[in-house]
Amino acid sequence: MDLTHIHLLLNHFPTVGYIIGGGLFLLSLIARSDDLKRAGLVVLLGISLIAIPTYMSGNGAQDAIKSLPGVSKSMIETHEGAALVAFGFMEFTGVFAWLGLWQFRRLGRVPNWNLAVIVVLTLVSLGLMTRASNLGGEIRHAEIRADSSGQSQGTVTPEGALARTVGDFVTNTPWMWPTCETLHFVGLSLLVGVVFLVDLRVLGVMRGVSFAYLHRLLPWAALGFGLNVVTGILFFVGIPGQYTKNPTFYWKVALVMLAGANALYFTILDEPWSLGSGEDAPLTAKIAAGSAMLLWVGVMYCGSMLPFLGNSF
Amino acid sequence: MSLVVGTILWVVGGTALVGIVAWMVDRSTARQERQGIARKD
Repeated sequence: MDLTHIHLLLNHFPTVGYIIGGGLFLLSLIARSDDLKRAGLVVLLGISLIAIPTYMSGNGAQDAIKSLPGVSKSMIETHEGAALVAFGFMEFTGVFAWLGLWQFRRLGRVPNWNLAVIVVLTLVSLGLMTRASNLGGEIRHAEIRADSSGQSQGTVTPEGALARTVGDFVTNTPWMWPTCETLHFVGLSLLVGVVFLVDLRVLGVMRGVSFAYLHRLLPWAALGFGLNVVTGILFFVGIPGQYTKNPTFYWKVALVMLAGANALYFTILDEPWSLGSGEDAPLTAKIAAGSAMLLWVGVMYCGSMLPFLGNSF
Repeated sequence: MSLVVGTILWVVGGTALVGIVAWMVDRSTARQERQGIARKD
């Protein structure tokens, strides 16, 4: 199995997942159901995480088919540009979906302003991702192009050169890469600093502090994660081959997915939330906290070792 | 823009932006929690 297989496996998830997640969320607003609302937000957040390897594996698939007869470079770049825009909106949606889950846990409701933001971002993301998917399908399926005779090279859109333009800006601007590196570490420090505080409390350190106090810090960790996604994508768009040919990077992305799923436990579930001052956490919470620490250390290890393992730098 | 000046300006700007957003979320949460408690009273 290579990145082409992974891209083919994942590339329907963002569109179908957003239809399901967005549908549940809209239905929850009509039916006034908090359970449906939380289910919809969890699906939107999960799909936003899955969109990361979906976008990145596209570059591996590009390498595999770009030399094949009948495959147009401009169509691939058009699909890549459209996917980058859709991916950006999906990640924003994921951030607000996570914030909604966190607010629900903390306040017992999602504020109206965030409900409105999530609805708008979900609909825009779904539209953009549907278009990106269609452009991706046109690369290998002449029968769905506007000119189904197969003579056309597909729809050429203004964002066709977007990914390369951004990538060239990242690699050719002297201060861009070091800025992204520094901000990547700022984001990492915020994220791991808060996550480890929460995990250590659950494991039995600082028992005098209730979980609810530390829960209030989680948006700082989420912002750190968001900063790392933005800077990480800029690295990736700058020199994709440096990452798509490196198995250590695959491990890093897989561990980020698992750590993101783990974070949901501490964001929304009742078990850690009910942990009061002086109380000992149940075993499942301790397992979740211990595994979170291992996962984030794994992410940091894989990230730091990228230049030294895999021979792609 | 030179490497050093550009890096410093963008790192300070990016970090400040994240800090301001996090601070606003925290203040907003604190306000809503106080209002929630006041309603209960």
